Amino acid sequence: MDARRLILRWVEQEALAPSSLPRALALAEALPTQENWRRFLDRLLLWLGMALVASGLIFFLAYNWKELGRLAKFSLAEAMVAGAMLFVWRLGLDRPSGKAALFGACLFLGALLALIGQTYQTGADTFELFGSWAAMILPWVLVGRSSYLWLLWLAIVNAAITFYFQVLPGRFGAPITTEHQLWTLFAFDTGALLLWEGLAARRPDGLRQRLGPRVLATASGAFVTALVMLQILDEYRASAFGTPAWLVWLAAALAIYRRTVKDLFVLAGGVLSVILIVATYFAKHLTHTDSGGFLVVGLIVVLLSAAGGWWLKHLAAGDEQ
Amino acid sequence: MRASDPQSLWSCLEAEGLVVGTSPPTGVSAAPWFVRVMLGIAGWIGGLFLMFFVGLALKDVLQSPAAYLTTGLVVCTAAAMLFRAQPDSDFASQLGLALSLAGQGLVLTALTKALPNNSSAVAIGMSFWEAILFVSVPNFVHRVWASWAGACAILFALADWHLQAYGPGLLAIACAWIWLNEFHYARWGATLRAGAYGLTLALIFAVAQQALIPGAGWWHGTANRPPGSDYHAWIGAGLGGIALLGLIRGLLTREALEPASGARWRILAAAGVLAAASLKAPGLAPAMAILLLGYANGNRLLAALGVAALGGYLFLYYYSLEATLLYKSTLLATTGMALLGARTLLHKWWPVSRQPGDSRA
Repeated sequence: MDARRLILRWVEQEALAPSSLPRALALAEALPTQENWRRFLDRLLLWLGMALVASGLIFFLAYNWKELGRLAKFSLAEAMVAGAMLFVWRLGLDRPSGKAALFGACLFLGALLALIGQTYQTGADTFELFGSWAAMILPWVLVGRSSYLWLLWLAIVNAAITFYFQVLPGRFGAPITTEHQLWTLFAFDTGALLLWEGLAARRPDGLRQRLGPRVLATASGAFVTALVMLQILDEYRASAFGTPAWLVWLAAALAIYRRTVKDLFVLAGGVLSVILIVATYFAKHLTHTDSGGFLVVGLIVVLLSAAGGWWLKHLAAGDEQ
Repeated sequence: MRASDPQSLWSCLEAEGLVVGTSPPTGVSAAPWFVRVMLGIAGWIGGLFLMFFVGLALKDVLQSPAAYLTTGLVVCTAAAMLFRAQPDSDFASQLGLALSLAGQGLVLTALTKALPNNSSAVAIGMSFWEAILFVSVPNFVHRVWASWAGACAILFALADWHLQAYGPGLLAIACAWIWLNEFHYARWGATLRAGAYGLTLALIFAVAQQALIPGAGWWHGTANRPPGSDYHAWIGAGLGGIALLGLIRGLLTREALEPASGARWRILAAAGVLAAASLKAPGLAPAMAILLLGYANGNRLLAALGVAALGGYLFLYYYSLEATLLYKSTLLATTGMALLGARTLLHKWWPVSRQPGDSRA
């Protein structure tokens, strides 16, 4: 529990007088000082300003211009990329402003690729746009050493995989199904998660932040949960590998996030995944008989969530001791 | 100091004479936010199944709105009694949550059947019922739900009265007031925070709704607009900006910045840029208010909600049909450049005090 929550809890328990609260919060550094505010406003104005300018320029390109020729459109899009990279060069990648400029350059490159696809109608599919975008910004992401850049890159690759399975017919005569899409996304995000955790253990930089692994673990867990649900709901067409993969995922999550990293967030996601799978299984087999099936499934969900909540709360309390 | 554990924090406060004796037990009931979210989602799923059970098991009895209403009220009352009888039991809390959600579904069905052509009356009825549940059920997750559901019901009522443009602004004002007074009413902090989280989630929902649904703000070219809707759109969007400016004024007072100082006016002027941009992009000011409240109160979850609201709004604004892309482009780029200019002025007026070994700016 962080200092802020502890102090507020002590006030509610009447162990600390409300009049002493501001002093207690200040002593615990639970509230920002004026210097903290100065740095926060600096970052806020930088990132929000950059996001608004980047959004504005992308919206400008997306507008269906009739008065603006191809040369003007491409000049603008390329100037945006070049301008952002000029800022990166001048500011350097150690400064937040340099990282923000690199983030903007990555977004502008996507806008430029979209403009190429829109203007020349090359016949390329959407997944090729996203795939090319991810490939082209990869060197920038590598040198940027920012978790936000990596998350952007991973989101673009996820979009490329999703679109790939939406537009391509089956290879080697086998039809492409939702299951193939889910397996690929699951494999990619799980691999990225393992790589991220492995690197974070060795590198004392931005990769240590928990946001990236939590996003990836949520995606990985959601895809493997969807695979098992698909197997339960469509047992004749779906493969039987979903359940073993899910069990391995749960066991690995328990081992890694209790022993190595200690992150209850992933375990809470695992508990929710168990509840969803069990509810889906019993809902399929019990609810078409009579109303009692709904009661049984409802009570199972209540029991599982209560047990999961109790377990997680005890783990959290144990970690605080 | 930044205490790393309860005991050292308690010792620090004891040394300053703020507390005496031994620290109270923290207990196991203080679950992290993501555990509460998990419990809320599971309770909602359980509630759906229980509602189907009640609906099917009592289908011969549930023939009239009065029967639905009576059953819903009985189920909700049973849930409230369960919460009060076993406040520390995880099983009772989850069962109570699922029962209450099922009961609320039945009450909503009753109101919809009794008032088929009066959506606003249904919504107001539900918001009253949610308010009663908020007060009577002493459970954090349930209170967040009741607060969110009650606020969303009011949003629907406003939409039915063609006043939906006011929703985000009014919610932003309410959120700003409650979060700013979080420490003032610290004794009732848990109740206050549950309500504030519910209202904040409803505010994010309102902002997304306004960006996505054509005519939600009656901004541009929507057919069959009621008379006066342009004024409603202006005033509604202005309320969001007022909430942001009021919040910043409150924060400046809390930070003891002199009322007539230049720094105070410069900060308010920078906020004024965002408030002005919110007249045409109404989600900007409410999302920024959430982010600032989170940072000011040391609440990282709230700050993260603010960042998500801001990013989500910009994404949805692209698809908003209330203005052309050219118009939106001009507005966003101009505002962004104004904020980057404000950052340059910030460096000039309030230079960063460098710490030893810190070379970053």
